[in-house]
Amino acid sequence: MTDRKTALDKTALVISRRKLLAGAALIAAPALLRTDLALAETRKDVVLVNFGGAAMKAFDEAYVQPFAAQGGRIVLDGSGALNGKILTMVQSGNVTWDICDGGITTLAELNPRNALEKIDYGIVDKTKVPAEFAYENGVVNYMFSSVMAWDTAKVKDTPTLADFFDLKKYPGRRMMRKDSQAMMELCLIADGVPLDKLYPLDTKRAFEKMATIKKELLYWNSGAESQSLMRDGECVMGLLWHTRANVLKAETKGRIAYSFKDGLLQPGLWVVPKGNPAGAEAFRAIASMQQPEGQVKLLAAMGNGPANPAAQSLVPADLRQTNPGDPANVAVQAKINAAWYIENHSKTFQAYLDFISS
Amino acid sequence: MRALLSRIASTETSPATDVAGALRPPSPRRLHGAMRYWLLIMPALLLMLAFYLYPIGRVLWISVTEPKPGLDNFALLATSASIHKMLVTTARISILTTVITLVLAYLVAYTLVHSGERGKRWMLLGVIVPLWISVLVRAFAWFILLRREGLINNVLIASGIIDSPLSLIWNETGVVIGMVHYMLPFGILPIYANMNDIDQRCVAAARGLGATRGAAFRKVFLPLSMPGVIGAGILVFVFSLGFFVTPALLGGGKTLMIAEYIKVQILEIVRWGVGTMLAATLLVVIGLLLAILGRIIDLRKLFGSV
Amino acid sequence: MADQIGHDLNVEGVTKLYGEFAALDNVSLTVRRGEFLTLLGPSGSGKTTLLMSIAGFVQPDRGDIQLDRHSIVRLPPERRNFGMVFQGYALFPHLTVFDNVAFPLRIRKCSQAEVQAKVNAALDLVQLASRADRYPRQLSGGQQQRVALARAMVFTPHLLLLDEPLSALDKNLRSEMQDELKRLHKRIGLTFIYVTHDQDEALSMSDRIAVMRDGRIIQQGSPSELYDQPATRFVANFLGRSNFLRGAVDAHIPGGFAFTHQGTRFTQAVPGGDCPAPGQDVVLALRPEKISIVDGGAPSDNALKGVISEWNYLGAQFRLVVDTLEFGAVVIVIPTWKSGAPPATGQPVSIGWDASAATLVSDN
Repeated sequence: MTDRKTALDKTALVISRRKLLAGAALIAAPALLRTDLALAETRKDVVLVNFGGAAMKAFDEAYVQPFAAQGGRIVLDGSGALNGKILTMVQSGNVTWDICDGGITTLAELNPRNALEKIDYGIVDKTKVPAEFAYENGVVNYMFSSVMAWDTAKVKDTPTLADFFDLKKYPGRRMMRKDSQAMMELCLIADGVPLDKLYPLDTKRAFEKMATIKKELLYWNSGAESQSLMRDGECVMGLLWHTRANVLKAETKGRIAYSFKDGLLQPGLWVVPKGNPAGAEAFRAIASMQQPEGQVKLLAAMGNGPANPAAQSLVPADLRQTNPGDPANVAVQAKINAAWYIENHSKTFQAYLDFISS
Repeated sequence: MRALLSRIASTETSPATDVAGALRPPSPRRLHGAMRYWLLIMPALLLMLAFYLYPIGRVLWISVTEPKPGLDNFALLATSASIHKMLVTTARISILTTVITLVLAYLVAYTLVHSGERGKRWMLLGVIVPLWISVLVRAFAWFILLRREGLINNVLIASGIIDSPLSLIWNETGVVIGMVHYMLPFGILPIYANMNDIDQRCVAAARGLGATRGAAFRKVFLPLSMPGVIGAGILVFVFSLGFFVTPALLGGGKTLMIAEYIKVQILEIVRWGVGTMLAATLLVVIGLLLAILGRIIDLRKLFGSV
Repeated sequence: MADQIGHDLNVEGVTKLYGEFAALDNVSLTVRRGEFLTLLGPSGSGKTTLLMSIAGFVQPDRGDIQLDRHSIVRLPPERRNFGMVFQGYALFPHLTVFDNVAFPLRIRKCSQAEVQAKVNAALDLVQLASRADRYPRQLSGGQQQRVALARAMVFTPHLLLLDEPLSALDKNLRSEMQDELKRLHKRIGLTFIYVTHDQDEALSMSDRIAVMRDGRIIQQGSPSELYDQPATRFVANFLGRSNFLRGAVDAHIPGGFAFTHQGTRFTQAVPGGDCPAPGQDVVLALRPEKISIVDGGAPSDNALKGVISEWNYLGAQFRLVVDTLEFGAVVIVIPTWKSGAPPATGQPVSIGWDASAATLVSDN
């Protein structure tokens, strides 16, 4: 504990010295040079946790290299920052992670337990993100959508979300995520709730909607599983992440199609565990990752939609239709409401599991 | 190889013997001697305490303190329909898996014991190799075989045995198939090791004394192989209780067993109190099962020591 | 017990092949009712295979096995009604002594009362009534042996087959059990077929011995016949020890023949009068105890000079090795009470034996 405190103090000292010296730069250029070197030596490694796989290479190009060019250092850890793991670290006082690739449910579960640092909007630029996705303890890092995909070999024409629940029109198995998040919303949209009137979610109505097709439903755990169920023809339709739908569409040469229409736009969030080792350096890393160029790279590599509105103009024309945050796509989707999740996630998720396993 | 196997098998069955030993009260006459042995194992015991009992103690502690002190979490065992449902599913699948595994493992072990050295080597290899195949790969392999347009359904439909595909996967059938497949080596090896130790002359003697092949098996071989079956049964059942990946993958997400339930509580919705309560309950149930078994059956007698 | 206790057994031309290897090679054998017959031979001689064929565990490739003139060779073991005592006893470890002995009766669906009575009688017979509720592992080797016997006899089998039943016991217990087995045999009159590789056991217990080698019976007869008139060099050496004298027949003489070796002439009696032709090479087996040391006077039919190269005191006997010019080392056994002062190595001696002391044997 003492160690970390002195470390923090030292960082604070360096910063204040930098501010001081910045003013003196014109007068004493050689001194500035020397201090920059000292600064590079004392800047801390920022440990960034994502869910591994293809994200490791994509993050390296989009985020790690640009930050390194600014004299910082991000270390990637692909082990996946599940809520319980973050909370364990924070409660045991042994935090080794600085930035975690989380989501709304991370906020929902960890905020009430006081396990997240407040985002330092003095360093992170709030104007570089959509206002609704800049939360006190988490800030959007990319956009993704939960969308409907279908197998064109078995589903003729373009189905609507309501058709997902119509077994007569399109018989066959469907899949949903083994998580209530977004699934509840899509049930309600299919049942006729307007996109902007979803919250507070009427979960009872959502479960009733699900029940109408329950015997034909499978539930995927991992993104890879959702891909395999669609690719192998086990399901005729499915609700899944747009990133996976995108990969499927390319892999199957269009046999699997998807649409953003009536999807749910969700933010991927950067969260910082309470007492993270790199301290404020984590926020400088986050600020660096707000640069639009890196975010467009991530879109090209993984389909993650840029969080920075300024990135939209940099997106090549052929990538626009796959970008969940593209204005044309945003217009046909609902947006997730974090406040509702903070209140309701835990019990909704549990109810969802009970529902699907009964 | 054979020695190694029987060693594997014997270590696997040993927890059961330990329980039987623990249940036997120490004779006061030997207490002094026993004291010295306690001293001998003290370092190992301390390590156990530090690395095993302490974390378990923590788990128990959390289960009665989170979110507030008391037995509220344990009360859920009586009141929560969700937990009831999950426990019943877990028990049903584990029992089914154990029974089917034991029957198949017995047949395999019996064949193994009665085959020639060469055949035995190949068959044992066939038993052991799957142990090194990851549970994910196996689940995928079963997926290829069992799905609606999979090998088994295609063959059955092509041969005219069935008209519409059987639902072999994305339900409890699929889960049990996958789990039985995973557990088979753990069933086969203890039973095989035990059968290997059965004096084949006893079976011959029974026949010489007038028993038919069937009677000799029922009255001599089967009872003599029961320690292996019980050991394997305990092992398989306890393992089955903790299955996570296979039910999640082959159950189509609809089969929720205790391990996944605990994982959700701990990692995702962070209801640590409930998660640790279930973990503690699982631990106690397994302990009780072993203890009851140790009471009903004199395991030492079964395991052939004096 | 039953009206007829003993049964005859005939083995006729039984052959058992394991690939190229003949475990039994055209074996024929007759066991008469009530007889104690021992199959004696070294390991691998086929004696256990023969016993297992009789018991029904090994199916012969050729030949027949008959019980009282009825073929049983196709019957499974459980329908032959033979009692069997296995090497290592093969007691059922999960059953008590009582239940072990009751096993063959219960299989035969005897009434509870009959089981009780017969098991108790059998346990009395082997003096184990007090151990009825013990488990086999709680008994000593000798006790286990007796349980195995009781179990094999309790159902009044047609034959009792015993496969090296005493090999696991130590020496004293073994001779005790030998006596007990013999007494049991006399008392109940069952036909015993007994397998052993121990010549002393065979000699002391059997009515008749069949010596086996390489899947064949090479000689059968009473213990004394086999000992005194071994047919082959192998039998002579397997049952007791022998010196072997080689020579060429010189001439026939009344009651036998004369042969010469290394220039010395010897005489040999042939009881049947069927002498080998002159000029033929012969082998004679001469038991060590049939040679005496000739102290000057007492004449023998045959005499030799030699030097004592080795001697051992064996309690009741001295065992001497005498180096001779004609036959090399000759082993002699003499009772200690007969030979005053112990002989010394290097001492020259004269040894002699009667013309009827040695036996003409075939050289294999």
